[in-house]
Amino acid sequence: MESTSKKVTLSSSDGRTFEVEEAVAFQSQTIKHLYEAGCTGDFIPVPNVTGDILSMVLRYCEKHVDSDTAAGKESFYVNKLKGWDALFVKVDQSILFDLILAADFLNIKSLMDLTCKTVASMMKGKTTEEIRGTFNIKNDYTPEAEEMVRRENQWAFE
Amino acid sequence: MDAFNTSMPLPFSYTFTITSSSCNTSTHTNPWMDVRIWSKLPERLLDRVIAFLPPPAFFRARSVCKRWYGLLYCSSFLELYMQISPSHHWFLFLKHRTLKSYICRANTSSGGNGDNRTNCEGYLFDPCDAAWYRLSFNLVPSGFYPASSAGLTVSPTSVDVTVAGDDLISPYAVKNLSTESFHIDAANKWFKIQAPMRRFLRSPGLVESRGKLILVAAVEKSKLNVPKSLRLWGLQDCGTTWVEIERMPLQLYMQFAEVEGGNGFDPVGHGEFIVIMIRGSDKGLLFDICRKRWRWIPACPYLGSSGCANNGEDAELRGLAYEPRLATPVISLLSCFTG
Repeated sequence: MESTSKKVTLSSSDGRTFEVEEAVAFQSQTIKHLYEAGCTGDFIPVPNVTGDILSMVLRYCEKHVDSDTAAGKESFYVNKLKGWDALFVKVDQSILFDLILAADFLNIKSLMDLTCKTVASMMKGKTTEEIRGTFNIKNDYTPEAEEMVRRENQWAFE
Repeated sequence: MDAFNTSMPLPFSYTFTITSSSCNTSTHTNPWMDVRIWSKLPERLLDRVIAFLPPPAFFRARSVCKRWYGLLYCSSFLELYMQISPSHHWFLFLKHRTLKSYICRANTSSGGNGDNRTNCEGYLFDPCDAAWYRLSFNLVPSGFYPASSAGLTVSPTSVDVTVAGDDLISPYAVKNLSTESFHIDAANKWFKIQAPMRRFLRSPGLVESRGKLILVAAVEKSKLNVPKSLRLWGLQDCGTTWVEIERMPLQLYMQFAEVEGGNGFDPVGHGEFIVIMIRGSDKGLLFDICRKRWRWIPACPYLGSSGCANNGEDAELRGLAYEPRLATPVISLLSCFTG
């Protein structure tokens, strides 16, 4: 398998290069499309992603390379991968942020879902005021309107 | 709310604690988030994050600003939501009047119209965070409880119905528990599935979990040479054989049996979760099939201080699998027709 599988080389925004198997790199729809369109030379440039983040993303892709196969859908395998994913996103918030942007740029759906879900679980216990503070959102309600919205959704506050 | 207390000194206890969570981070439900980082998240990606919020958190977040309030009516957001939102394997519990209280009510209301029509309340249970929410149904009369059939599998070519029950010959033991399955296709016919340990089962119930049928029952018989416990069996793909998949830990079963006191219990399954509510009490257990983890669930805080079973007027909770969602594909169908 190692000898036959084709490899591609990616180059990060800070000029680091990564040689990976096609199947790993093509989990990124962006890279796949670039490659298929033939607009790549020896390297496929990944201009928006640093080497540090790209190496993490590729580690994720390597781990998930089999998840679409029949064996990858076995519940044992799925559970193991879930555990791995949970550890994968236990990183500093700045790294998590960069991973979201990278997953978005590279268009890797499962990594998008994993990272966005992680942020959602960080914010789900926050008060309205805390959420505004976290995302720097201006409160554009009048106090009366805010009270009305709150009452409308009262069940969720109890 | 009080954790469930047990009077028994046990080597280790199953009092309800949030130790870890299948939904990632309920150990620290409110971690600090750095505004210098997250305020830079583009709106498009923030919407993706919002789509992953569990429904109660989503509805709370509607009071953040007008744009977030409007997301519930924004078709591009709902489209995204339907694509990416994970399944929430939650439960909805309704008050279920026991037979006794039905009779009482019939007697008291025979003279006048004793119909006290309060809104039906449902209690939404989130098994990931062990949280309860109260929902009010304006159009559903109080006391309403939907009947559900256990074990219905529909495939493009057939319908499989599986039912299980006790012939009720003896109030003390299951004499003839039978499980039958009806396979509706070219050759419609019922066939019998031998129940496991059928003469030793008490309070058997069927639940559906991730496309599989699971039998939940207490195993009890004084002369039985196995410890009393509560067990789960999964119906195998062949459709005729049950295989034991779980046995409640002994210490936990002792606590369970003490509360249950022979009154019976009602299991309900959804995804990887099974909730077992003890009849005549507000206590229930949650079992996570994937993690093989049991825990007591906190009592529903909306049932009032009188508890559930202190008098005949009160009802106990019966649950059904319920997935709260902001939108269903029907909405997009409707807009196709009307737009």
